[in-house]
Amino acid sequence: MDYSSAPTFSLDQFEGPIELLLRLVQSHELTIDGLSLSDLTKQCLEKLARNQCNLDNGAQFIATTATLLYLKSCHLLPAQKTGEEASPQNVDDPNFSILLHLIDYCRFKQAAQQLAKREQQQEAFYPRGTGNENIPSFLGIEHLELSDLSNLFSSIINKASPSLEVVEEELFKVSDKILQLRQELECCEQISFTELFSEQMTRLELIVIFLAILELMKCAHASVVRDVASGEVSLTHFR
Amino acid sequence: MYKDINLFELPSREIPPPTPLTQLLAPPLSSTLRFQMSRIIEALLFASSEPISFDKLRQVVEHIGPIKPRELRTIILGLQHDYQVQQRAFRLEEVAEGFVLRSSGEYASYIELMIGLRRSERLSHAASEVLAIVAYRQPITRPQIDAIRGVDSSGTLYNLLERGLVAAVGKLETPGRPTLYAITSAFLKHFGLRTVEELPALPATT
Repeated sequence: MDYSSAPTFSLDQFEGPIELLLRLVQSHELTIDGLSLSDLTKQCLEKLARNQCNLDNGAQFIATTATLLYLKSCHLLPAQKTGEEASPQNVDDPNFSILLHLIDYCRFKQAAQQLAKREQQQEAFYPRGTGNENIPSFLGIEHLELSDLSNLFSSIINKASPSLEVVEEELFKVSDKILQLRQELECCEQISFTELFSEQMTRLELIVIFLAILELMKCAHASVVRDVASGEVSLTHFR
Repeated sequence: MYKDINLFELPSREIPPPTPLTQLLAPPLSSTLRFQMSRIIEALLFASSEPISFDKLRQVVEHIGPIKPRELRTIILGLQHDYQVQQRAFRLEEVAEGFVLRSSGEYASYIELMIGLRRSERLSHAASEVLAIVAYRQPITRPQIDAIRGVDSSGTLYNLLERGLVAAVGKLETPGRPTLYAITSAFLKHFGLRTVEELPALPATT
């Protein structure tokens, strides 16, 4: 990593760029207990105010500093046991999970550096067709004006064959039937299926009623019972 | 005396001696055929800016005759060797599970002069971090990436998705069904990798 351009910090124990500090803490070459939290924060804010870092490094800088402050606060604050969330391992050693996490993150940070290095190396090799290709990334929708979209849409609409269909209101709705069934259940304890499904009803209505019954059962508003003696199935209040 | 009549019996025939198995599976390639195949592969590579998969090469080459994968690979390696020996300005490389011609490194600066540095932007710190996590832990959800990095990665991930370096590959079967992300062949191409296994092992703990 290139530390030369990064803003430097001077603390009691350490002088140098913040990235290095984070890595030292992460690799346990420095203990975070000894670091002065207030000094670090003060200097950090100063650097930010003076805008010593460019935009590219800025975000990274803030992230690194924040991570450091977080680590420090983890050390300072008493270990909080969060009941079920804490696994048995973590209860023994409150630093354990943070440590493990840090080690993991450190590994990925290194892997990212390797990737970046590889990317740089790969830039030397050009495939065929270089130069006349478009920018590989998508442009997103920022470059589109609202008028472009509306033009696009109207051109598509014009192409589409005008097909007219009559939209009919549904004759039977499951929600209506649910209401109806619930009202009926209020009046009488039990409605037999033969009453519910009468022969005059259309196929559609029968299906809708059946769906309504399933829905009522799902929501635990009603249940279906069968009389042992007569074998008749009927709808009752949920028990 | 009766003679048994067996309707299923076929009149005896001369059974030809079995052809040797090796000959049956793949007749040895004649040198002219081999040369022709090699030229075909060269033409395909020349015409394509994207890596061509081994299967695709085989599919095309088999139009003039069957070829064993091993022989095809030998031909490709032969081409690769030829370019090296002839000190061509390009190389045949195996990238993103395919074969592609790419310029040799020493001429990069001249190509840059020609195209005027219109190469796509390099990845930011954050982007390479997210990419590394996806590459080593794929398939992975965004919350899992966030957990490792300790910061929100949605913006970075979105950029990577737009550049086509990562892609959504499915949903994790947990509440909320979060999207799983994995790296793409564009990633392999970008980093000049043949497969994801070619990535160096994740660095050991420091």
